[in-house]
Amino acid sequence: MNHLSLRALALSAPLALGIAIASTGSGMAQDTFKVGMAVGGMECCEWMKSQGDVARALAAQRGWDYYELSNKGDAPTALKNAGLFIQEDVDVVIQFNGQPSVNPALAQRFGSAGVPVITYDIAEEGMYFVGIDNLAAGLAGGEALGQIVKEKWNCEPDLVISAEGAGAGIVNTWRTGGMRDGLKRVCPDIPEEKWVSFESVGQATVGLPAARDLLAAHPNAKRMAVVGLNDGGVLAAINAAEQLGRADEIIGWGQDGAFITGPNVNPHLAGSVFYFLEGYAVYAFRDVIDHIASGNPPPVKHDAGDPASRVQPCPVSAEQAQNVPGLQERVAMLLEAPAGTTAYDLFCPNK
Amino acid sequence: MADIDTSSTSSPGRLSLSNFGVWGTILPLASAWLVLIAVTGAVRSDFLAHQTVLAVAFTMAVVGTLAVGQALVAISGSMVDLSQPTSLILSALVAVRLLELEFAVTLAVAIAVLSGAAWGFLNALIIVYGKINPVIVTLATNFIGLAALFLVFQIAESPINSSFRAFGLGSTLGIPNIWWPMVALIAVVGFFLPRTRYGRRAIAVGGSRFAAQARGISLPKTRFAIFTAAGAAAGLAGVLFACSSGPFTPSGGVVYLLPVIAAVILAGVTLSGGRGNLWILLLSVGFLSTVPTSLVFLGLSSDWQAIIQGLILVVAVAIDGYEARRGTR
Amino acid sequence: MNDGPFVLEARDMERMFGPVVALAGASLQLRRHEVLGLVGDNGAGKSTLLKILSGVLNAHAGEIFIDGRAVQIRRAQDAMDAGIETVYQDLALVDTMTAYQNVYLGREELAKHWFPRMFDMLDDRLMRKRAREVIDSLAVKIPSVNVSAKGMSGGQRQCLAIGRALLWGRRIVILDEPTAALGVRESEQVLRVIRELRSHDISVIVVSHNMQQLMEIADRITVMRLGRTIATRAVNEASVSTIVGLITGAIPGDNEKDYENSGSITVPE
Repeated sequence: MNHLSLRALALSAPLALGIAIASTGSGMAQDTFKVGMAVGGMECCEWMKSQGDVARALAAQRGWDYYELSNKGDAPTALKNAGLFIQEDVDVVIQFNGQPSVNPALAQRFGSAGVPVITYDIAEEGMYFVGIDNLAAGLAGGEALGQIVKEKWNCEPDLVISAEGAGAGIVNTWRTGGMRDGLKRVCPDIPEEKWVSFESVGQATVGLPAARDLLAAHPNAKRMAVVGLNDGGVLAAINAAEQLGRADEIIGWGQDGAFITGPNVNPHLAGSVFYFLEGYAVYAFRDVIDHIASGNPPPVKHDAGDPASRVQPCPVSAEQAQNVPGLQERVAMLLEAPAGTTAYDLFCPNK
Repeated sequence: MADIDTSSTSSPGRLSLSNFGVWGTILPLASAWLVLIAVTGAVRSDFLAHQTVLAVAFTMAVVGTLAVGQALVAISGSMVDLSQPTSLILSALVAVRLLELEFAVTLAVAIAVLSGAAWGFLNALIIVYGKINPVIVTLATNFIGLAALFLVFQIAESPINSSFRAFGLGSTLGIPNIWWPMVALIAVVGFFLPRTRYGRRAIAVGGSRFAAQARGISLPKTRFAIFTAAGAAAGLAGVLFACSSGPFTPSGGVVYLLPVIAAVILAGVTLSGGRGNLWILLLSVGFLSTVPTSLVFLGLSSDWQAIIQGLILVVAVAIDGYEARRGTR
Repeated sequence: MNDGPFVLEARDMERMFGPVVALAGASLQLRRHEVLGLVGDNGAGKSTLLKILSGVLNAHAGEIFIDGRAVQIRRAQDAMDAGIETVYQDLALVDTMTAYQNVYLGREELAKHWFPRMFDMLDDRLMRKRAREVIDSLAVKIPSVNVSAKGMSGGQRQCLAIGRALLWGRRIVILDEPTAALGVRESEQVLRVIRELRSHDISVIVVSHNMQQLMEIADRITVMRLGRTIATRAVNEASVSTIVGLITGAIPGDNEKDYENSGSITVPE
C-alpha cells in the first residue's frame, strides 16, 4: 500500500509538469501524447539515469507528457510500475529492465492493455527491440583487435583468450563469440588449440583468479590477445598476466567502453567498443515513438537480429577514446543536436 | 603442540581426539594437498612450475588474510562474520581514494586497515548493545554496507603507475609480495592467540560463553576486541586486494566469503567455537587455492570447478558438524 | 569461635522475576570453617539466593556482609574479588580447554619476564604446576592437567571445579548440587573432598536435595521455603525427618507459628 502511494506521488509530479507543458503547447483539443519510461534504476550505473534524462528531454521537445519510474533493478517493482503506467493511460512505454525474468509478464500486461512497449537491449516477443547489435559490436571489436594482431605478430599469437560471461547468455555469445569471429576475419589461420577461454563474470577482480589459473596452465604463451564480454572481463586476463609477470605482450580489446576512458586506462587494453547507452532514446523516438504519435505505428520487431531500431556500435582505440567526451558532456551535446542525430553520429571516431 | 600430552588418556572409551587433534587435522589436509599436487603434476608436468606457485600464492594472499579474521570470529564463538565482503571493499576503496589524493602509501594503508577495524567495531557495537546474534548482525550490516558502497562508488582502481600497484604485482624470493603479509599475519596471530591472556579468554568465550562469564570474563569486551581485530584483518586483505588487482566494484568481495569459510572449517576451526589452530590455515588456504589451478591444468571446465569447490565446502561443513556432534577434538 | 563475625552473612534478600517473588526476605549466616547446608523444595529460592551471592543475579533488596563488612556484589567478578567461589551445577567448565586452563580461567597468570608480559603472554608452566598441586591435594585424582575437560568423568569434572574454587576462593566456596550427576562411588569421593575443604581454611555452602549426604558432611542446615529462610538447625541436634518436615511445611519454621496447622499444600478437588 505504502509503496504504491509513494509511486503515485512520484507519478503526479511529472503529471503536473506535463500539464504545464501541454498548456504552453499548440493548444490541441485532444489529449497530450504520453510517454512512460521505466529506467533500470540500479545504483551502479550513471548511464541508467542518463537514459531517462535523454528520453525526458526528447519528450519535452515534442511537447509530450513524460512519466518516469524506476524499476530499481527489481522484478516486482517492474511489474508494479507497469500497472501504474497502464493506470495513467500512457500511449507508449520504454522499458529498461535489469530483471528480464519478468519481461514475459510485462509484455502480457501491457499487451492486454494495448500499450506498445519498447525494450532496450533485452529482446521480448511483443516488444519493439531497440538496442545494440551485440553481434556487430563483437565483430567490430574482433576485427579491430585482429588488425593489431596482424600488424604486430603477423597473425601468429601464442594464445587468444576469451573472457566469457556466461551469465549474460546470448549477449555473451554475440559479443565474445562475435569478437572471435571478427578476429578470424582478419587472421583466419590461427590454429584451434590457441583459442582458450575462462569465466570472467564480466568483472576484472572476480574473473582474476580464473584468468590467473588459465595463464599458469599455458606457461609458454607470450603473445596473448584477449577478447571478451566487456572491458572488465578482458581486464581480468590482463591483470592476471601482470601478476604472473607476463604482461609484456598481452593485448586486449574490450566491449562497452567502461575502462577505456579516464586517467587510469590499462596500457594493455588497446581499445573497446562504445554503445553510447545514454543515447538509446534518440533511436526509440526516431524509429518507433514518433511514428506511433503520428498514428502510423511501425510493425513490432522484437528480434535483436531484426530490430525495430538498431543502435550502432562504435569500436575505438584507447588513443581515440581519450578524445571522446565524458557521459554528462555527451548527454548535453546530444540534446543540442538536430532531431534524430544519434550519439554514434556525434561521437564515434570511426564511422 | 606443547599442550598435548598423549600419555594422559583418562580411561578407555574416553580416548579424546584432542590428544592428537592438531595432527588429526594437519595430516589429512597436508596429504590431500600433496596428492592433489602429485596427481596434477603427473598429468601435467608443467604444473610443477613457478607460474603455478605465483597463481596459487596470489589466490592465497587475500583468502588467507580474510581467513584470519574469520577464524578469530569463529574461535571466539560468534560463528561467522558475513560482512567481510563489505569490510574488504571498504578498506580497498579507502586505500584507492587516499592514494588518488596523493597520500603517502604507508599512511593510506594504515587508514585503510583502520577503516576495516572500524567496520568490525561497528559490528560489535550492534551485536553487544542490540543483543543480537552476530550472524544476523553481520548478514544485515553486509547488506547495508554493500548498498552504501554502491551509493559511494561504482568502480575504483588503484593508480596503475604507482608504487602501491607495483608492490602488489611484484615478488620477493619468487613469491608475490602480497603473500608475505598474509603469512606473517597467520604466524603472529596464530602464535599469540593461545599464548596470551586476551587470546585465551577469547577461546574460552567461544568454548562456553556461560562458563567464561561465570569466571568473570566479559563477553562484550571480548566481542569488541575480536570483531575489531577481525575487521582489521579484513582491512589488510582489502589493501592486498586493491594493490594486486584491477578495477573493482562494490560487490567484488562477495566471491571470497565461501572459500574463506571453507578454509577456516578445513583448518579445524569449528564454527561452534572454542578451538582451532590458526597456523593450520596456511595448509587449508594453500590446499583450497590449489584446487582451482589444478582443475584448470587438468582441463576441467569452470562448471566443474564450481561443483568441486562446492563439494569441498559441503564436506568441510559436514566434518565440522560431525565433530561438533561428537563433541570430540 | 562461633561468636565472631560471620564469614558471610546475607540479610533480608529480595528478588522478583516480573510478578513472581523468588526471594521474599531470605537471610543466612555462614560461620568460619563450617559446612552449611542449604535446602528447600524446588522453587523455594535456593538457586536465586546462590546466584545473588555469586554475582550472577542482582538482588532487589537486602544486604551482604563479608567478615561483618557490607559488600556490593553486582557482577561475578565482585563475588570472586570478595573471595566467594561458586561451583555451579553445570560446573562452568570450558570443554574445549584443558584442566589447568579451566582452573585458571579468568584468572590467568602472566609471564614473569617483562618482554613476554608486554604482549600479555601467559606463564603456562606455572599454571600447570599450581593446578597440579591443588588437584593433587584433593581426594579425587585427575591423571593430567593437560587433558581437555570434555574427556573427564563426572567426578573428575566436579573435583576440577572444586579445585578451581579452592585455588581462588580463599574464604568461601558455594557448591550447587555437587553430587547430583554422579554415581555412588564418585559421590563418596566428592563428599570426602568437601569435608576436607575445612582443613584448607575454607567455609562452604552446599546446596543439595540429598538429606542423607548433607547430614554426613554439614555442620548446620538452613531451610528455605517460599522464598524465605525459615529455620537453621545444627546437624547434631536434628534428624532427617525434622529437616524434611521443615522443607514441606509439616513442621513450622522459627518465625511462622501462623502456619502451624497449615501443613503441606493440598490440591482442591
